[in-house]
Amino acid sequence: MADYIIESKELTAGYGKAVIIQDVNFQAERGKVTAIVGPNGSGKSTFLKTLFGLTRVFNGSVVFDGEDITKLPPEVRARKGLGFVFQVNNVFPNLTVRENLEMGAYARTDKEQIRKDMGEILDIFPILRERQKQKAGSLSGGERQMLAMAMALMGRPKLLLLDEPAAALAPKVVTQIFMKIRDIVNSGVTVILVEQHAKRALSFCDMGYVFSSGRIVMKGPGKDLLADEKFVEAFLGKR
Amino acid sequence: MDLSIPLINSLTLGSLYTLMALGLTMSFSVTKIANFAHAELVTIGGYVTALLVNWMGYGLGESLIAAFFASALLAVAMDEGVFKPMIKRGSKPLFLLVASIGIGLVVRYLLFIYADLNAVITVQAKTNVQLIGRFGRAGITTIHLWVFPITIVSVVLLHLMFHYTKPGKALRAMADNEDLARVSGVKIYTLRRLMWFIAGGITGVAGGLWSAYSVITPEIGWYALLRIFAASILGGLVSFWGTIAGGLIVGFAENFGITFMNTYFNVSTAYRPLISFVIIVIVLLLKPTGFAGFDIVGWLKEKVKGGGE
Amino acid sequence: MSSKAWGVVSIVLFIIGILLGYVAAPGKVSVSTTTVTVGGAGAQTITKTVTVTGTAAAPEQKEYVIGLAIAVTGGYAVDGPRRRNAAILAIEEINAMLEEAGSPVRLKYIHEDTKTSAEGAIAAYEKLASAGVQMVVGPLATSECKAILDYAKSHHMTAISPSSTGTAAMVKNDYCFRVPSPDKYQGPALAKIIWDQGIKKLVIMARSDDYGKGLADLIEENFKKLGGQVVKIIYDYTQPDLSADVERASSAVANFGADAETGVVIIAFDDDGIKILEAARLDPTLSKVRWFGPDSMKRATFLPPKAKEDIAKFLQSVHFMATTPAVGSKDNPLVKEFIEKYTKKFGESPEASTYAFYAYDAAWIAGLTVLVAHKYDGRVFQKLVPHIAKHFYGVTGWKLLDEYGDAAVPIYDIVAPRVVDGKWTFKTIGKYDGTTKATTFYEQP
Repeated sequence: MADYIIESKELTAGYGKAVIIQDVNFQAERGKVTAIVGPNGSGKSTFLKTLFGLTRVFNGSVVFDGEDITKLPPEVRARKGLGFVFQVNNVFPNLTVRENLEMGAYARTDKEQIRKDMGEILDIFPILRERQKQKAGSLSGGERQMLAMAMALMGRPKLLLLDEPAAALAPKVVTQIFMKIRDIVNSGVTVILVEQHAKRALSFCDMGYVFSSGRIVMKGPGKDLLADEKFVEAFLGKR
Repeated sequence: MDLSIPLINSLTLGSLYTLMALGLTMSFSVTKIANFAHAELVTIGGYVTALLVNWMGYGLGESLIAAFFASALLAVAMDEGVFKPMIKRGSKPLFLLVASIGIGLVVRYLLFIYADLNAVITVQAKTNVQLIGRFGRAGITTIHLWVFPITIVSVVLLHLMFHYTKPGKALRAMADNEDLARVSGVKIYTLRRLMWFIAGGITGVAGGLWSAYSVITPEIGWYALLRIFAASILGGLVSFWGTIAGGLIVGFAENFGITFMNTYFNVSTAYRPLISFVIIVIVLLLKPTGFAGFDIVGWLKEKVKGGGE
Repeated sequence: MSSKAWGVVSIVLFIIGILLGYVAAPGKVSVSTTTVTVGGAGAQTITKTVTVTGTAAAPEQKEYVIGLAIAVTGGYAVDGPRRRNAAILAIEEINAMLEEAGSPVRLKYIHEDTKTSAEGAIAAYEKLASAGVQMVVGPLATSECKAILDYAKSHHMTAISPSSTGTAAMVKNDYCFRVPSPDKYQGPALAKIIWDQGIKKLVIMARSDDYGKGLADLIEENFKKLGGQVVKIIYDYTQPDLSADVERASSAVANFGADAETGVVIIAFDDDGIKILEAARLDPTLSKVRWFGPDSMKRATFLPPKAKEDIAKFLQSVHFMATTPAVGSKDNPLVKEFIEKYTKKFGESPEASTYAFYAYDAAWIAGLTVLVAHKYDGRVFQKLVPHIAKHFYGVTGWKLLDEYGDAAVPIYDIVAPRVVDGKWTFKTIGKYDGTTKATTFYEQP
């Protein structure tokens, strides 16, 4: 049996009284990249937020590292090793870049190690080193995305959830971002990625899930999905 | 025209309004509640100070510390007792605002009853305030020796807290983006409590200083609220330095402005509150973001219209 | 049993009950309970229950109600309860007098708080009207009196104010009578007293209500007639801070030269007065000149233990003096008796408030009018009050009323803050007689 870092069972969740995702059974293998694709409004982002406890769960459970975390608030999940990069509003605009990174390590107490990590992270994202004293609100879109990921990494997560990390970025920056994600995975962090751009995501990931109308409609290794005619027809359109 | 008296008055009132408005700005920026019951934090601080000085014979310093804790606890109680449960049930900010008016009324009239029974509807902290020097025609008094240092020390301490301590930075982060703060592992409810405690506390100290500077009634905070909001709105309701500037601007506008209009246009000093109203209206009309950052009008529109997440 | 039968049984039982009750009862019983909260340090509640028992055959048992529309919160939070207590004392005295004489008539009072506001006064009158009250002692302030004028007239409620002196409530043939001499007399009196002190330039600070504005105008007008200069500052007394107004006064005094010929008149109530005095005592300019005030400034609020000693010392240092409608001298047996009874009953001397004396006289006049009328009708009272007052000599002297229904004999005490027997008090240091326009000082101001 594969080593799953996180699993959801029969998960039904939403906001207020509205149910957005239903009966989702999902697993992500440790050390791998799992992608979630699907059309707009299919509930993929909501699912990601549910894994972090930011929505209302009606039914089902979430198990992280062998522990049921369904009822835990987000701040506790963060302390257990989950990291999240939102699609938008993913930095603190009125804090400096350095303060943002410090906030990323908020739950940690190992000061020495944090300082070391800060150095390493700034090595990985040299542009952030230059902008350390600047307010995050003044960064460009790509720089912000980098900062958001860097912040998440400062928390030393075991599992990193990325919500459309490449949305609305220039193609050149997108390539950079995906290179960074690859580096992150290589350093031993498990990644779950939500992507609008299905082809890009599936060719990048190890395992893919396809969401539609709040449910999982297909799953399988990314390359298999891309080779599946039915999938291509339904979600990528004929070429 | 001798401007020494308006100058000293402006600085004194500006300092007091600044202290009061900093509390409002803190609580608004972190919780996004336009808390009208903030007025009562001023009043409670004033009464605690006045009664401890007059009845218990405490010094002003000790009484101000007590005022800090009294208003701090009241602020925490407001949040724990009313705001937090409402937010957890998904209340819109507009409902929270109305609830805050309700809290304010309850506290104010309970205080009225208490003050009536104890014959302290109007009361002044009987501290020893003396003339110690002169600045032009204005007298410098011992009350100025309390107001100015306390304001400066509070501002410096708050600045240090917000920029050099972990909870302080986390509060600024919460003000920016609460969800992101949560996923970063910030225990938001613990920090909220800390924020209410500090915001309530400094507001209470300002009320206490007022009870020594002038006379207080159970409505003192309610009357001051207009100025507090004006000062805070000048800073966009979220900006620390904007609020300090706002407090001083309100203090100066109300003194210099009215002295000027009175001298040259024979406008009655009774129109002083109008200045604060005008400040609020102009800021909201022309520059809804205040001096810094936050689009109050846009935010209100959105929250009143949409359900809020 | 059917429900119909139950109904019949219950009706029969009800009728039997009534009959039994009628037979068993010793006579008509009327109980009146009045609950009064007395302000001041250590509030206490006095509950007085009067049970009057008579036989069915006894002569008509009458109970007339007198309303007390007296503020005990707001600006009168401190002084209001003292005036109300004096009125209560008068009513109880009248009842004791009637009981001793064997008269079957009694007075009863209902108190409503007017909250020192026009709206509050109207609300209090509405409540009293709904209780059928047609004779009222109060309200206190001129603004309150003005507010209830129409209501009192249309509801035939005769009002006797113990303390309104403002010009705004000076109306002919109204239902509101005022037992102190109105400002019509006080304004000229104060202007003359100040002028006689050698003051030629005057800064008047007055609260922006009918009393303050009216009196300020009267002082200004009369002071100018005497040849003086006047700057008038009307301040909004609802503001939490009055420093800008004090600054204006300070500038005006500085412009006048702040010399021995410059004076300040302050027309304030409790909290606005303290705000001004606290700021003024710390103002180097304002503490250099003489200060004066009208009756509203003769309040315990401005002296220890209520106020800071510094404020009293300031008032003394600027040789502050205030005019206040005269009360009879303590040698007067009527006054002596009132002070003794009041002090015994309420644990505080009525001398803390001039207007407690006036409230006492107002309540006596109200009571006597109702008794003389022998018909509980406000229209009758309104016609009777001037006659009763004309023949009434109380603790505040002769109560002859003028064509406006206000006390027509203007005699003012001049009081100044002094320490007497280790306690701060407003001591009477002189007298102004409005008929001769002469001031007599018993001691140096």
